[in-house]
Amino acid sequence: MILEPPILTIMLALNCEAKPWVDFYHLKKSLDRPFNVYAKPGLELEIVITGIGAISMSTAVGWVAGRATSRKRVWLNLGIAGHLDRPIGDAVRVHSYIDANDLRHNYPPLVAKWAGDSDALMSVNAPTDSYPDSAMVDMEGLAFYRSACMFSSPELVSSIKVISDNQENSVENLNATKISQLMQVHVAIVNRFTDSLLALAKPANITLAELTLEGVRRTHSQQLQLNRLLEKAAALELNQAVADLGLQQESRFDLVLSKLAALIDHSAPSLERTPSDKADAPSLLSGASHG
Amino acid sequence: MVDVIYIEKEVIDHPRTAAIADRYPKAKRIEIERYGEIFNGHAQNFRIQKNNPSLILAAKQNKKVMPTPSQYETGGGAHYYFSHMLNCVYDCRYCFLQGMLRSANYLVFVNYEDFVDEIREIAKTHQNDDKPVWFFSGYDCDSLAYEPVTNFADFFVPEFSSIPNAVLELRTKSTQIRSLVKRPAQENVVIAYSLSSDRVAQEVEIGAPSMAKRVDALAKLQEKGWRIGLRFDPVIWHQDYVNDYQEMIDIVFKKLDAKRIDSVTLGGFRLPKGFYKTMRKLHPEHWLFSAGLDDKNAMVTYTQEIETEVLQNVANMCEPYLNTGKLFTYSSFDEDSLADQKSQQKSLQNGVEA
Repeated sequence: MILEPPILTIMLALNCEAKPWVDFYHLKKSLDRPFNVYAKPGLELEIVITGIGAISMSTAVGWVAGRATSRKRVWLNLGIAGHLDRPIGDAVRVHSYIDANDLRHNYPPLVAKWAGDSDALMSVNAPTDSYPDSAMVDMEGLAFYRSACMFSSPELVSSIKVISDNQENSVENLNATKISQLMQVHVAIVNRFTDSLLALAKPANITLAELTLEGVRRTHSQQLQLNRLLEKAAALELNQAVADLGLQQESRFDLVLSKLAALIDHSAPSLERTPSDKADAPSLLSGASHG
Repeated sequence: MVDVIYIEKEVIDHPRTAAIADRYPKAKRIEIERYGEIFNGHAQNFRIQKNNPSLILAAKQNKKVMPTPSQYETGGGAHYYFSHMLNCVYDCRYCFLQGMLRSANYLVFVNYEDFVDEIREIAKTHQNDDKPVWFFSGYDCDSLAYEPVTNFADFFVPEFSSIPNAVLELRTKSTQIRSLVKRPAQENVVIAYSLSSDRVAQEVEIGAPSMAKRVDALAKLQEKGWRIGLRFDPVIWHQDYVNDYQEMIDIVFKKLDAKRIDSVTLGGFRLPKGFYKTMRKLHPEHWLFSAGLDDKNAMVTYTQEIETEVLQNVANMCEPYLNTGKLFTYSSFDEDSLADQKSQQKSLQNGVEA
C-alpha cells in the first residue's frame, strides 16, 4: 500500500484573495473548468477560486471532491470578512459558523494549532454593512464548512478570515488590489497553520503484504475480508510469514482466507518491534520548491 | 496544555468554572449553549482530536450515577459508577472511550454538588444492606490524572466521610496523589491502580506514568494508611507475557504490603463489538486489535483458550502473595459476564447524553 500524502485544498471566493498564495508558491492556472484552479506538479496543494456566495462555494467543494476520491483532503477557506469593530487586516480563525437563517452554530473541532485569535462567523446572502454583535460576516463560510465536512472529517476543515471592513471602513471602499494587500500579510502565519492541518491528516503507517491472486474467483465481501486480514497481518509484522504461506498457489479464495486467519490467530504479538505509530508528519513543502 | 475552552452558558458563573478555566490563562474561551453541540457532533475523528483536545466545562443533567455490571464486584455490596469527566489525558490503545465517544475533547461536569446529592440519595436506599454500597469513579476518565485542574478528589473524598455506608473507589494510573496524601486516610475510600508492565505500557498506555512511578504512588498511599487496590486489567497477551507479568508482579508485591491490599482484579482485553470496529478503524496499524481475538459473543475478547490461559497464569503469579478472597478474576466467558456484556454496553451508551 503506497501512503499517499494528503492534499491541501484552499478555497477562496476571489482571485485577488488567492493572489498572494499563487505568487508565493509559483502556482500555474490549470485548464480545469468551470472553476479556476491553481497548482504545481509535486506540490500537494490546490487553490480553487469558487466565485462569490454559498451556492458557488458548495458547488466548488463538491466538484473538487468528485475529481479525485482516493486522496485524503485537507480543506482551508481563506477570504475577507467584515466585523463590527475588529481592526482592518486582522487574521481570525473561525471557531463557529452561524447560519443567518436560524442563528444555529456549527462548531468545527479546533485541533490544528493557530497562533492568532478566533471568532464566530455569520454567513449571509448578500454584501452587508450591518454587522452582527459578536461575529464576523461573510458570504461563503458556512457553505464551505458544511460542504467540505461531507468529504473529510471536520478536524481537517478550517477557515481563516481577514477583516476587510468594519463600521468605520465600509465594504464599498474595497478593491482587488487592497484585498490582495490585506491577505498578503498573512501568508507566513497561514502556511504554518496549513502545516499543522496537514500533520493531522497523516495516513496510518501500515504496509500490506504484496499478494497476487489473479484468476482466483472471489466475492466483494471476500475481498474485503482479505483486506482486513492483510491489515491485521501487517500490524503484527507478519508480511514475510504471509509471503511464506504460498497463497498464490491456492485455487480457492476461501482457503486463502482461512490460512491467513489461522496465521494471524496463532501469532502472539511481539513487543520487540519498532512502534509503527511514529511516522513523520507530512509537510506541504517537503520535496517541493517554492523559490 | 489546552488551547480552547468551551463553556456552557449555564455554568459560566459557577466558581468551579472560573477555577478550572483560570488554569489556562492563554486559552480561547468560547461560550456555548450545550456541550452536545461540540461533543456529540457527527463524523468527528477521535484519533485526530487526541492531538490537541479542547476542554469543555458543562453541567451534568439527568442521571449522574449509574449501576455497574455485576461482574465488577470487588467484595462490596451494590455497585454504582459516576463520571465527573468524559475522556482522559492518557491515550491508552485499549480504552473503550475511543470506541464509545465521538470526541476526544475533555468534558468536565463542574456541578460536583449535584453528583454528591445523588450519591447520598442512593446510599440512603442501601442503608439496611449488609455490605456498604460502592461508587466507582474512573470508568470514563482517569480519576486523578486531571486532579491539579479539576480538584475532583479534593472535593469528593471529604464528602464521603459523611456517607458511612458508602465506599468510593478511585480508579487511576496517575501519580497525582497530593490531594490524598495531604489529608488523613479515610476508611471508606479505596485508590485502585491499573497496572501494566513497562513494556506493555509503552506500547498501549501512551502518556501514562511508568509502572515504577505508579507503584511508588501506591506505596506512598499505603504508607499514609489509604486502602489500595490493584487492577491488572486488561492483561495484555503477547509473546513474552509470562515473564513480563511475573517480573512486574514480583516488583509490585515486594514494594507493597500485600496484607493491606484491599483487592486485586484481573481481566482480559474486551470490548463491545461496535467499539472494537471503531477503534480498529482509528488504529489499523496497531497489533492490539489483530491477534488472538474472538467475536462470537456480544463482545470482542481474546479467544476463550487465550483468555483462560492468560488470566490463570497471572492469577497463579498473584496468589502466593495474597490472602484468599482478595483476588477477583473477570472472565469474559462465564454466564454472568455474557449477560453483563449486553447490559454494560447499553448502560455505557446511556451515559452519554444527547
